[in-house]
Amino acid sequence: MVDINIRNRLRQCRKAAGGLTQQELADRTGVSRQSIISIERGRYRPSVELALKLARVLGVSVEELFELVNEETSK
Amino acid sequence: MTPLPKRMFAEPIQTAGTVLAIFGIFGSFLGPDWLIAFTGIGLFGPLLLRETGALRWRDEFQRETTIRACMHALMAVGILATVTMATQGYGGLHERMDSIGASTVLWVLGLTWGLSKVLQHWGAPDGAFRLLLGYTAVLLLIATTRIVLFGTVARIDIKQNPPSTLVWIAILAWLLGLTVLSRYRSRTTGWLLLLTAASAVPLLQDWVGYIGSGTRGWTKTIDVLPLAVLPLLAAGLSLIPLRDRSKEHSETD
Repeated sequence: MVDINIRNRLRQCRKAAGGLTQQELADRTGVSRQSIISIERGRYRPSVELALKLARVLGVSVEELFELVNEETSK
Repeated sequence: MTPLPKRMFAEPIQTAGTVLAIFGIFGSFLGPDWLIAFTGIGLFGPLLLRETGALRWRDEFQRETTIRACMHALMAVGILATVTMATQGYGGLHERMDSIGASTVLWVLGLTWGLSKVLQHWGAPDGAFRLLLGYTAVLLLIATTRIVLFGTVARIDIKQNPPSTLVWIAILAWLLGLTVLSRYRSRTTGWLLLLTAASAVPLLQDWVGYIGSGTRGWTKTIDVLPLAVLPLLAAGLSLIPLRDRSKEHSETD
C-alpha cells in the first residue's frame, strides 16, 4: 500500500523571508497563529487557497512550500 | 462600510459560548435543572450561527477542528446510545433508577466535543500532556478539599469507602507519572491511559457517593463517570497513534 504524505518547508521559508514570526505570518494570511503552528508541525494540511496565500506572502512557489512524498508501507 | 475583521465577531462569541456551557453544567448539577439551557446555548449557539451564515469562521483550521470535534461527539454519543439500547432495550434512555439519563448523553456529547477541540488545537502530544496536567491538578484540588474538610484518615481498605489520603497520593502519583511519560513514550502512555480509564470505572462506582435522591440523584451519580473517565480516554486515544520520541522540540517562536 502507498501512503501519500505532504512534507512542508513552511518554517524554513518563513525564516528565510526575513525571519517572520508565526504571528506575523498568521496576520498577513488572515488566519490564527495556531493554524500556522499546526501546518508547520504537519498536523494540518491547508486548503489550496491558504497554501497560495502563504506562498505569496513568503515570496515562494507553492511547490517550494509543500512537497508530495510517497512512502511504501508494509501493509 | 468596510466590514470588520471576522475574528472580532468569532472569538468573543466562541468564548462566551464556552463560559455559558460550563456555567450551565455546574449550575444544573448544583442547582435547578433549567440552568442546562445555558449549556445548550453555549454549545450549539455558535454552531447554529455559523451554519446559518450569521457568524463566520475565524479560519479554515477552526472550521476543520470543529467539524472533527462534532464527528467525535457523534461517535461517542452513538456508541453510548447503541450500547445502552443493546443492553437495556429501547427504554434505556428513560430516567429510571437502573439506566442513564438524558444528562449523561449531553455530558458525553459536550465533553467529547470539548476534549477533541482541545487536543486538536494543541496537537496530540502537547494537548494530551496539558490535558493530563490539568486533570491531575483538578484531582489534587478535590483530594485536598476532601482531606481538609472530612479529615480522611489513612485507610488502605478502599472498598466501599471514599479514597483515603494514601490512595489519593497513589492515584495522583500514577497520573503525574503518566503525564511525564507522555512526553517520551506516547504509545505506551496511551495504552496505560486506556487501562487506567477502564480500571477507574469499577473504582468510581465504589467511591462516588450517592448524589441527591431519586432518579435525579441516580443520574447525577452516573454523570460523574464520563466526567472522570473521558479525559483519560481522549488523551490515551490521541497518544496511541503517535511514535515514541526522546525529546519534544519547540513549536513556537
